[in-house]
Amino acid sequence: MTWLAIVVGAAIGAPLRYVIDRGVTGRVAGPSPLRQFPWGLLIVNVSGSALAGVILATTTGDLRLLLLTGFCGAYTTFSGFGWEANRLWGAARGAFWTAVLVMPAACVLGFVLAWRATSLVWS
Amino acid sequence: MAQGAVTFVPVSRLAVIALGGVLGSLGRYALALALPFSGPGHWPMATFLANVAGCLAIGFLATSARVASGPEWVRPFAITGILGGFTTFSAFALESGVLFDAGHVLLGVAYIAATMTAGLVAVRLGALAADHGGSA
Repeated sequence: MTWLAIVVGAAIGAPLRYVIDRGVTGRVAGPSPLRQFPWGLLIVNVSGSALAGVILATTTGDLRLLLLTGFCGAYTTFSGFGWEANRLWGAARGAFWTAVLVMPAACVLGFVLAWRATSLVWS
Repeated sequence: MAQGAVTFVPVSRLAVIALGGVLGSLGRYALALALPFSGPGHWPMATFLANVAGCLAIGFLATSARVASGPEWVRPFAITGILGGFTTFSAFALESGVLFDAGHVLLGVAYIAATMTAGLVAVRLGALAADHGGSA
């Protein structure tokens, strides 16, 4: 049951990440450093981290495993971000440093705000 | 490809990504069961190892000529699917947030800095290995 919850969550999260990242990147990608920035993965990772805050505050058991470990875990990605940052190191140094500083800060902030806000409303 | 063009994503590619994502996520879950996060004051070892190992693998696979010249499904399956599912930003943000929230600010900052640094170095090392020894 536990494993099945993760299978279901991940089977939705991983393709959704691809569709959103591809959709965003296809619209903004261009030669300027600002357009080189991995906006698609930023949107995916920040929204997934904020959603993880809501889920942590409101669910338990198998539902939490499905939504948090399964869906949010597969929807967000660190390796894709690492690969993008590596590409930016060679292509746009300013965008590289922005990504390295902004991505974790935005994700942690998104998570804490969503977690705190939901905990207040929920209790 | 023309910028702004609406591009068609085949359902088969989404299925291949979903399958890879499930396999990677189960691997991440197995690692979390083996090395559980003990909460505030503790280092989130499972997520740290998954993210750094995934970065090493993506550096190698995304640079590998064998992957580039392989069947069309290999990249979405292995990179977007397995590695995307195995690594995670939400657990990384969650654990950092929990550490900060409990007052372990130094540990939280160290966790973020160590994950980012080790992850980026790992991507580079994986890419270098594929460039120099990938065909050996």
